Amino acid sequence: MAVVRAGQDRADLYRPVRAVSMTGLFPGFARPHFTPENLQSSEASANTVYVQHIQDEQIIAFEPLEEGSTEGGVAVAEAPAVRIGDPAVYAYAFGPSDAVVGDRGVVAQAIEDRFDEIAAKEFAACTAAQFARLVQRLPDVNRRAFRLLAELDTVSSRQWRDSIVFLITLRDELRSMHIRPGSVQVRSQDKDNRLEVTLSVTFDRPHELPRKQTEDACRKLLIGTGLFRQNDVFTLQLESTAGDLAVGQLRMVEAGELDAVMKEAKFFLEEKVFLPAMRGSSRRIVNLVRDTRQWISKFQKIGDLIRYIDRFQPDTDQPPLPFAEIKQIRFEDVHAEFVTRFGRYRGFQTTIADFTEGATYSPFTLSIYTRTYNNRGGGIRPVGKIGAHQAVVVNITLSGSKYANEWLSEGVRLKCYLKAPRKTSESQFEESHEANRSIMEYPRVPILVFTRMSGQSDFVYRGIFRYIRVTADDGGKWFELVKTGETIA
Amino acid sequence: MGSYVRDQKRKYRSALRQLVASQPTPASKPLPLTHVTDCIHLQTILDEGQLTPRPCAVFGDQRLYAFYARPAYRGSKRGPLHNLNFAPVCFIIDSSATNECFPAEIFPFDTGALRRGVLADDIHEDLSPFDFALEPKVDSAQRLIRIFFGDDRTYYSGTYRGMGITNFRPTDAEIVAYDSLIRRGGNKDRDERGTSVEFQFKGPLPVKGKVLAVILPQDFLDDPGLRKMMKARKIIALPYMFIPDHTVAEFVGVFYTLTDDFYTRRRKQYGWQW
Repeated sequence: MAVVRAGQDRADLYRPVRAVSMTGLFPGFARPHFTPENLQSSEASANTVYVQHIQDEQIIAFEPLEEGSTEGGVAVAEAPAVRIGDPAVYAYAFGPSDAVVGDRGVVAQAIEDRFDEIAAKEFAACTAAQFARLVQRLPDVNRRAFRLLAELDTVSSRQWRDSIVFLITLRDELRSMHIRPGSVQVRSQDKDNRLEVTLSVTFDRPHELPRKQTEDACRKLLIGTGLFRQNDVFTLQLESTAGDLAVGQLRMVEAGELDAVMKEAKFFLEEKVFLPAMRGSSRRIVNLVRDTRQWISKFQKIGDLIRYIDRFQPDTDQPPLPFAEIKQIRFEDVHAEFVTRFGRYRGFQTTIADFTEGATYSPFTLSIYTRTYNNRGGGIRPVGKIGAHQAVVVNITLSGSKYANEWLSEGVRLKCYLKAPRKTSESQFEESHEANRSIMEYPRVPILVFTRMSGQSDFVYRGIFRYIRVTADDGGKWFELVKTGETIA
Repeated sequence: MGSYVRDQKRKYRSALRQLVASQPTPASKPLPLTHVTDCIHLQTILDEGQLTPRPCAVFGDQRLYAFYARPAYRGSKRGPLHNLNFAPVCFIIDSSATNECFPAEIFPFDTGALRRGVLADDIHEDLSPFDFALEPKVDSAQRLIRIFFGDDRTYYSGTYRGMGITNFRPTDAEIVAYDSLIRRGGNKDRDERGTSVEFQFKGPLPVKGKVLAVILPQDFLDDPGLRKMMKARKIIALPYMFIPDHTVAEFVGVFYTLTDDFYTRRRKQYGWQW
């Protein structure tokens, strides 16, 4: 039996004859069943029960019900017949044998008049008040439901608030701007005792949206839900559907996205590089993969990882690799694909601003930041090529022994021996060593100092220091570094 | 139209199955399976701790259906929610449930949609669903997704990424068909079930301790007994506002939004790549 649509039977009338609960819960919404009358087409069958299809609050079609599903519910007396194109018919069942059927206005009025019968059930009250647009009652019913849900699970209550209450509340406002419900997303976070709500809207002409006006209207609607206070923050975020951003328009990347991209990149290397490298390989390669995997797992920022993989770009003059055998792990085979997929996140690298004074950092983190990828060559390491280096990392162990690095004034003045030359034939602690030059010849470059005590693995970040002078004692030449108190943006 | 029955004497196509099986073992944890059903089954499922197969006209026997990651609804008729007599609920189930009850079949699309002809533009009528059958284990879904969508999130949104698959022949008809399907049919506007990876079980699927969340009409949470049960079993409630026949097209969107949100908020807890 066919669905009866507009154009086929506009003259046919359908009368609501029964209201059937779909959830079995009372009070609650029910579904009206219709029987056709005044048939003028062959599409509808007189002895069949139908349900309506609704779109934008209008009836767009009637569909016959399956056999066996027409029982139950409460009979409806004297409800007006409707046809395709008429406003939707709703049914609200206050009890198993007590239902009101009519258009939105009729049912909403009944809900308002008899709200006391619904109020005791928090969620039923929410649904009814939202449907009937009982703006005076909504704040209280929403808050009660929210509290109840929060007792079950905090995250779930917030998700309900954002995805259901807020989104439904904003739906009409968005519709008036021809924004489809599927193109919006609500996110929130609690910050400094305030709720920050962001409504992300994907729109094909974002520049045409009256932003301030829309924000104000949405903000007012959210306050009306009772779950958004006057001092909470609402932000409207517009994104173009085109995918190509307007010239000069930056796309803000959320931390969550970077997190996800990093995981994806690591999985990519796992599948494309490590697992293939291990298949049928020697023990030495297996160990090599294990060690390299450990390195990869230490990367926290996607830009740092991209920089690392860039070292394996084929046919490029690259700095020496940490060990020759690493070429047997075929990073260069996947370099192009890796960059295609993740290259746009290249800018998200570790910077000075990522280090917090007093916090601890592993040798891996420092080796990644300094792009040396080798925990053995610590001490003094410029970040970048000498002359263009953006910082110098000094990570030292304070052993307490004679002729060791030490505080001259705790946390403020540091004695740090120059880096030893590689060849024993050179003079001890040669000042022309590249690492030492990166400090002496570039006094404006910030020196990030990290210290640890003997026996510890991680370093504590002590802040930014500047070079004062080179002094010598029986242990050799050493830098005097003084803390600047300077903040680098 | 008859039911699909696996002909033991026939040699079905296997290029897609082999292509998927040849992918490396995924390193990430699989996303959950979803099972959308009528709300009248909610209490029974929670009490019994299992999902039960029902008569299936498509395969002519008793089957239980679930989908990978997407809250797809396997209706008996065309389109979402048609003729639904009761409000839908969606169970989000940890995929480790399949360790106790292995899937009988895994297909890269809704076989009900195939039978109704919804996928006819892309899948030739001479192709049987068994030509597309994957190895019946959870990571088959992950491997398929890696090949054709790149990652779980892109699969979920149904965005065709054009992965540039080249290691197949023009005569691998099922790969050609599937690639065509996801290029043109894999988005929610058309019918997202077309490209939702379908899991089939012939026996009951035990889900006790495996139900991560339930999407349900919010009015159900007025029942203190249900709330207590869900809290005790650590099942996350994802309520939605259900009004019969009201903006039915949005209903599917709400399920997707709620599920997407759930995956986002819980990804660290469960180790999902999301």
